[in-house]
Amino acid sequence: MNKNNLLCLGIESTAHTFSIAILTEDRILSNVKEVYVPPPGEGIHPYEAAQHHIRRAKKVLDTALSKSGVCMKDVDVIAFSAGPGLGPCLKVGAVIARTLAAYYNKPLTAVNHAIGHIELANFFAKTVDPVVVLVSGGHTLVSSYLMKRWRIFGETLDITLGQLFDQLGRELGFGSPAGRYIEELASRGKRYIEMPYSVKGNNVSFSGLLTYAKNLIKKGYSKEDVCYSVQETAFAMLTEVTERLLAFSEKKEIILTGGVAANSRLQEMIKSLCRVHNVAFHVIPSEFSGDCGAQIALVGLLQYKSNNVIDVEESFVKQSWRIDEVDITWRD
Amino acid sequence: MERLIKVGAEANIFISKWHGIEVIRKVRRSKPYWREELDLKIRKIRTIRETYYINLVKKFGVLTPVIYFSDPFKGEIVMEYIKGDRLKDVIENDNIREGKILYEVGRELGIMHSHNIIHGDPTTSNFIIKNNDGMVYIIDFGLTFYSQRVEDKAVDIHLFKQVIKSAHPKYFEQIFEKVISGYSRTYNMSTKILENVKEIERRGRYATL
Ligand SMILES: Nc1ncnc2c1ncn2[C@@H]1O[C@H](COP(=O)(O)OP(=O)(O)O)[C@@H](O)[C@H]1O
Ligand SMILES: [Mg+2]
Repeated sequence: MNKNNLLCLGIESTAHTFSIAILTEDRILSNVKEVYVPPPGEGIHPYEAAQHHIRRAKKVLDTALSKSGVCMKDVDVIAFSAGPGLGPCLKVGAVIARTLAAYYNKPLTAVNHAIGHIELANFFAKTVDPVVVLVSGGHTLVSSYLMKRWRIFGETLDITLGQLFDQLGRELGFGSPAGRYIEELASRGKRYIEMPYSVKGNNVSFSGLLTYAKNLIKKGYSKEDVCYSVQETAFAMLTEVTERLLAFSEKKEIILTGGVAANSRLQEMIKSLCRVHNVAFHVIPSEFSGDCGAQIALVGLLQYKSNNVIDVEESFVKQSWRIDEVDITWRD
Repeated sequence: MERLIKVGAEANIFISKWHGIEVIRKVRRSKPYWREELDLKIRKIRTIRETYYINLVKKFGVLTPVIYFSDPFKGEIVMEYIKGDRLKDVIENDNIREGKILYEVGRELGIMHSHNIIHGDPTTSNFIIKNNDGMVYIIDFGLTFYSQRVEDKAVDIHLFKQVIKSAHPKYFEQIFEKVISGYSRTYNMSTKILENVKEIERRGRYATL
């Protein structure tokens, strides 16, 4: 096979988002998505999200193909998000991937969703050996690469940043993901209210902060001030653990990725850190920070090129799947 | 005449002179991402804690630098310069074959825990193996606290395990086993703590234990 112009079709289906992307190693040809939005004030219902994905799948696939200007027979490999995520949602993506692979007789590869966030960011920034800060609904961790794995040096000991914002958002009557609403309210906050600050080694904990903030809302404190203070506190904690890993690992670049990477206040804080330590700052383009097919397609392509494919019979989904359990077959 | 030798996670580390002797001056930096009031408060608290616990644990036989001077308001500590290699470098240079150092690391953590002192940041750059006598010194007590809770001690061990697993995966099992043998020797509650460490790992996000 000509390994330079390979085409990968990637399917993302771990939670809210159903998305399909088609790309080559140096260009994203299409990246189409549909996002399930739960009723205001409620969290995600896994079965309803899965129903949403089933209903939209055909349209997303057709649009991804037509936008990229290729047809199924040109595709070299099919990738799907095998985990971690919500079982019913994962199964939708997996079934579609298996069906396409079997029907068109294409190889299949199973991608870890979080590795997708990391590698897509690296793809845009062309990083060499970064400290990774992954912040999303499913993850909040700091990592760097060593011996075939993305190693977890620190993470949340309870809820993620995405969950912190979603659960606070729910208290305020927003649907999830609520990150954007919280950021908007926070930008109008004026008064800083001191909140629980919890850093343990390289790890953070947000549940105390969440409880504290919810209580302030119930007591009638200004929503803007509470959101502002939650952001300031949570991001400072995360930036502190990032600094700890940076000092420990002596790496020369930081990359910020995942849905919450789009938050400009968080970017500002990590940037301020980079200036102190004189290291390069990178962030995934906001268009690609949220869950999308491109993160799956990119890793799928890298896996395929390093002969990391699976049989349809063994294409299981894994609701739990840590990034440090994934062999990175395409890196030294 | 003062020389910056390390930009740590929290502090700038200088080699300096104190009444004629060569010393370390640790100065906690002001953090651009902390609000001013938080910044002053955290740096002050951590400087006080570090000074207090470095002195306290000596009484139990844990080796730490001698403190000459401490100014919480400036966030600085002047202390003994421990000439040696960090545990991190010793492991990276594959010099960890004989387990005496690792046993000693575990023994010191065990002593601290048996006195309900939680180090809070037991990473491999916070242990120094002194050149002349091979003794293991512990530094960086800014996150140290007093607690009798099993969970707090287990988190401390979890932090150590996490850094070995991620930064030194090649010898992870061997290293951890030797450290735990030292830990268990000095701390009679170690079995209970280690069970709790497993529990913490099970609670970890997307854990498949
Ligand atoms: N007393 C000391 N003697 C020798 N080296 C030291 C001493 N204190 C600190 N260092 C060096 O400086 C580094 C950072 O110091 P540390 O106290 O751990 O600060 P931080 O809180 O910034 O991590 C250590 O890893 C060690 O290499
Ligand atoms: Mg340190």
